[in-house]
Amino acid sequence: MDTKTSQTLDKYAQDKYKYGFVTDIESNRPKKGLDEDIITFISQKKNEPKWMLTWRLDCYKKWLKMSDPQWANLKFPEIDYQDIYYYSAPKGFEEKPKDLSEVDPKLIETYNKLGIPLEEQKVLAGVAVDAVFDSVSVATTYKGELEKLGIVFCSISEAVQKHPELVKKYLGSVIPPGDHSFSALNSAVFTDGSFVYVPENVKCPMELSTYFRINAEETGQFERTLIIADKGSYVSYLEGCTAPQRDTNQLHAANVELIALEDAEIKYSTVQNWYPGDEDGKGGIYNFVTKRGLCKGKNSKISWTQVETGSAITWKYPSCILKGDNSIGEFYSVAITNNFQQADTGTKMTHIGKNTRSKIISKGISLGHSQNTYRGNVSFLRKADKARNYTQCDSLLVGNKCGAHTIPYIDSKNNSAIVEHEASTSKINEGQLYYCRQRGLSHEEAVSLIVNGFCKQVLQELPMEFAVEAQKLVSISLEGSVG
Amino acid sequence: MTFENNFINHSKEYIFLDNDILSNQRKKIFKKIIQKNYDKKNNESLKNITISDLSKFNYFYKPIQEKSQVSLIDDFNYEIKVVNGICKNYEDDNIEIRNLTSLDFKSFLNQDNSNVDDIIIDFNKIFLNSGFFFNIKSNTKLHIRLIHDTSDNFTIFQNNFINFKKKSEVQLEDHFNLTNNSINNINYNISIEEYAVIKHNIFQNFANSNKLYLTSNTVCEKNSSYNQNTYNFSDGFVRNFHHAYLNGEFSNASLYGCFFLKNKNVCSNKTNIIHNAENCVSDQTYKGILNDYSKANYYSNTFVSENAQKTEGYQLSKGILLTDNCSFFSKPELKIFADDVKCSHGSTIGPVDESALYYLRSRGISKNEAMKMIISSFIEEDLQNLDKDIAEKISNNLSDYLNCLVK
Repeated sequence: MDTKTSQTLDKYAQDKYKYGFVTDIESNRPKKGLDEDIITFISQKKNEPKWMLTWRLDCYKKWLKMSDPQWANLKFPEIDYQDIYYYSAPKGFEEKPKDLSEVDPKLIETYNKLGIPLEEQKVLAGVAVDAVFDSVSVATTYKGELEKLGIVFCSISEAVQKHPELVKKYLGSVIPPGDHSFSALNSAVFTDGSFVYVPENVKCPMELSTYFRINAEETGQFERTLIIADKGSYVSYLEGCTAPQRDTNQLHAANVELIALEDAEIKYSTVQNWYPGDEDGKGGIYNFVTKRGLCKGKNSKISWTQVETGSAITWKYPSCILKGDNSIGEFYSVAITNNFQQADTGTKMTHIGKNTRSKIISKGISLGHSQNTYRGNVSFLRKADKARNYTQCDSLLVGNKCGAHTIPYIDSKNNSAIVEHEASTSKINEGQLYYCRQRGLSHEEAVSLIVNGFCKQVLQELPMEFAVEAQKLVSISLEGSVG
Repeated sequence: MTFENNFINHSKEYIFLDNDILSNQRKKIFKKIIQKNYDKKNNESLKNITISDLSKFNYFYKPIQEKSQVSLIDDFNYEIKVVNGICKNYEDDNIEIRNLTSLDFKSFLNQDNSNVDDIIIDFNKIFLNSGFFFNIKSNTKLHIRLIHDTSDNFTIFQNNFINFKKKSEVQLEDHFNLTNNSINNINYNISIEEYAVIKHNIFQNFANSNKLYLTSNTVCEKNSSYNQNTYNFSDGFVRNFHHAYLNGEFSNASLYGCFFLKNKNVCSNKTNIIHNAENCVSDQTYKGILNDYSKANYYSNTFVSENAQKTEGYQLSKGILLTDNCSFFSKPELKIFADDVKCSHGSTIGPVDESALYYLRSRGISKNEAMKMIISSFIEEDLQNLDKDIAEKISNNLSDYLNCLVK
């Protein structure tokens, strides 16, 4: 620790009582805005060791010097970082709706369409539920089974306490905090997220999901997920809110880091359906997510699958760094934008090792007044002998007020590497539409069917239950915009 | 001399001498460049350009008019020699040629490239020292050879206007005859009126010490057609940036290019087609072969505006890397705001096809010969649409290139 940071630490150690926020946090949120006090507060609230606080403060200092990345094809007002709560303790029961009748009926309707059971609906809608909730016990039984195999699956705050050596080693190793301003911000203020460690040669028998954990504790706006797959292991991880969360104009800046060691495989699936704002483009989530996987060992594999239907703004590039020889990176994405949503999403495949392979399938669908951009970067470094990439990105436009954009960056420095990229943009095929209509489907149903077919290549990569939900979600996203 | 000194000494010379509006505009541009400090990361126009070439260069220019000439090979066949940016004023039933004068101030200011953040164009605006007007009259059918002659050490900042009137049918050829240490910053403004059909072949082959920054902005009216072919065999640095605006219905534009690089050659390419009207077709295809330590990039962009329905826009980029030390960067962009469109892009970068090589080798063809065959077949299809003499010239240059390649 350098002298400067220790001085800062000393200062806060002395100041702590002066501000007095430690005493009354149980009932109150900390004040709005971001400064070193808030970071110290978060760290203390999480009962973190000193090294973690130092790391956070370092990241904060880095963030102060940075400005937000401007290159994305997105338009939004400048984010006022001082107008945000950085720690929101679980809300008191009095703030929550008492039962489902107090919840927005539109929301309930969507839940019903997705086929989510009533009890789960309550949790998702934030209804105060007592501890007698089925999936809590379900979660604990699973937890026991996982522990037997030696798999660690807990919140990141818990991991900081219980597995500091792993967290210390890997946190920030794939996404350096200084990478860009959102990663620095997240590193400084992250409040929760998941931690997964799969030991050597263990194949995780079930799909791990944040869903169960959210039941127990609410995740913050700044999630941090760290997944480590040790040699020869396999894990499939599902992330997401499978149903919309009603939030207004919030900033989400999550960081997700995956590390696959030799012969390990990580499959990461996301269905993102945050609140997209209303029909006029008011409200909605600003979703600035950094996801990056490192294929560290030989023969490792990381596969990203995402279905993006929500958020007012999506800024998300799940990437793979293919460092180990023979490693594989995959990216499957469906992004649907409607009304005034804007999405700038894609991937980055960096080939470093020999015989590395990557595959990108991206499907974008724009409706209403939305803007949908695919942005992908494929680069072959000098030593990436015999590396291969195949990219396909297709866009579908419905209506003439929306835009679909494709911006790939392709960089090759190796003469035995092969990169292939193809993209197409078109509208819904009139012939197909006519065929469906002729067979008695309504216009809306027909469009939904065709769009689902258009996305199939990606949806089939999702785990079974997720795929069914995603398919319904696609239909819901199209509603009201076709006709 | 530094950019600042060049600006102080040379930004008020030649054509638009002591024009206040212009000097104010130039000052603004100068400030912008200084403030941004050649921010390479966020500016595509600077990709692969050595910054010191811009921030420090020896400005040298003297107008010489004697050698420039217009010669008629036959009634419809013109050869125009542009010496150090100056051409001979000439007019007949088919064509009007004249140098840019201070009276052309308005057309100079009105050229619409303000939306493009291009430092090379900014330099062209600041240091402009030459330029010409071509006016090709309606209903003519011409073949024009344009030879750019630049003497040693000259820095040419040239802005040209070419206007193809209605129903003209022209084949325009650009040849660059550069000597040593010259800098050529040439900006074309081409306007194509209704029903005109234009073929534009650009041929670049010059020595290592020269630099060529060629930019073109083409505006196509209703039912017109523009077809550009660029061939780059140069040892010197080349930047080809070509933009086309399809403003009239049923117009089409195609921008093709091939580059052949070796040693430490560098080239930077960009094509950009903007669809502003319905029923237009565009095509952008660039192919490159890179050897030794060469470096290239290709940006392509199709922009379809909201009202440009029934658009067809295609892009293709293909690169062959022959060694591990060369690099190729491509960024094929699509920006689409209309729904009834067919747009696509494809991009490949890789080595020479192993199986094709094996096929030829197994039939008793030596490795060198096989390589030559595969590489020449790579661009062969593009040569078929060209006139015989230019196709021949390209084939000759290609075989020279291939002979160097296989030592």
